[in-house]
Amino acid sequence: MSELLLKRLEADEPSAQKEIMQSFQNRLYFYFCMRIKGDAPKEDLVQEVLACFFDSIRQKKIHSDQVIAPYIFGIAKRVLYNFYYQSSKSNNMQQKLQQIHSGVQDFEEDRNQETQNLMEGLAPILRKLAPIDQKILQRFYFNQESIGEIAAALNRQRHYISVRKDRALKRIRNEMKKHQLL
Amino acid sequence: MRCYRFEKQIDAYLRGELPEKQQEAFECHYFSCKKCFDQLRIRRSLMQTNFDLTAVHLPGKDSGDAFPLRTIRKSGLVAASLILLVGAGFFGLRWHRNLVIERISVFDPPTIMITETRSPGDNVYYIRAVKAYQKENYDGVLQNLADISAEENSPKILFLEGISRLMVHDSSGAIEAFNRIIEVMAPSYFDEALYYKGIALLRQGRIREARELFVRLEGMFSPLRTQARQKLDTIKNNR
Repeated sequence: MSELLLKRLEADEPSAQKEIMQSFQNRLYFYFCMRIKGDAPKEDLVQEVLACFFDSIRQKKIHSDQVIAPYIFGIAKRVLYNFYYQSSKSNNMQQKLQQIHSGVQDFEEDRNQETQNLMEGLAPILRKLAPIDQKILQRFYFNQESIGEIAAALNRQRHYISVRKDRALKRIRNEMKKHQLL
Repeated sequence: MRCYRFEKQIDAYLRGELPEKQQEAFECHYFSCKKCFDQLRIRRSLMQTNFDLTAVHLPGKDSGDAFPLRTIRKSGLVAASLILLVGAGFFGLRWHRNLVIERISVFDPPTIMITETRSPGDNVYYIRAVKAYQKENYDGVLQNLADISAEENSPKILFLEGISRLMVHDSSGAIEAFNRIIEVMAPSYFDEALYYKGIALLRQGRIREARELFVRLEGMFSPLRTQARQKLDTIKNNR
């Protein structure tokens, strides 16, 4: 996030608002996916958090750039609590958010596109890895096996498997940054 | 240094293995750390990638295969089905179906540990029920759970009841218990309730409904995805 973001948000700069949404929409959606099971409207909850945040900016409740991320996280926790224990429905959040920030786009469409780009970009990068690295990643992430189980199956030391996994992940991340997928 | 500590927790977080406090601290961290959030996204994508990275080679006319394998398998299946139909008869078919259902609905009962209940009065019965469960006395579990007050309707008690009913072959009762967990979308037992409800449906021969549940679970962000996938493979292999 750029410096003096808070000042730009308080001045209602659209670029600052867009920066916040780009930074936090995915994180919020990820958080609600991990915490809420079933077919709950997670996109609505994401929009609710952002609407509350922009409200707080208007009311000058935030005093520093450094607290923006923890503040948004705090709102997310409260929204989650309300969702579970008070069962409050977030109706027409997209509309409400558009009233606060006119430039807001369809989050769901953007998220689906981004996820698709990420998945499509991942396959060619995986092909570049050594076969043993591919096997390790497949067993660990897709098959959800433990490091010990993989080491036993591939007849290697646990440390060897662990180091190879970490190096493969580092390589994937570097390649994705190079191709601007992250 | 701080980021290094959180980076070590990413895999445990994705598998739902972090304790609540550590989970919350980690979530707060990735809200502000792009590096950790990128790693989280990459690893989640790996969980959803089927790793089918090699191109599939289909045999052509000149490949030298006199009979493609698919045709042999299909012919073999049709012939076997005809023989089975003629030879087995109605009761034979029924017996076979029961065997298949038993095979695809096999499962290992989960480990259940003693934890506290909301009201101290019910704690005694709950502890007795869990001890009975640990000794594989499932009728004893249900007897003790019957003494717990209706207000103590927590997901963990419903889950214990559901599993015990499954073990005594009361599939309908088990489905009812799991449905109550699913209705309230309890975070702790939601995935497990879906999975074991699927097992109960298999036991009743409601294979299509069970399959839908496992497909749903496989598409979710859940530690039980692998087991759901294995069940789908088992159902497919036993058709």
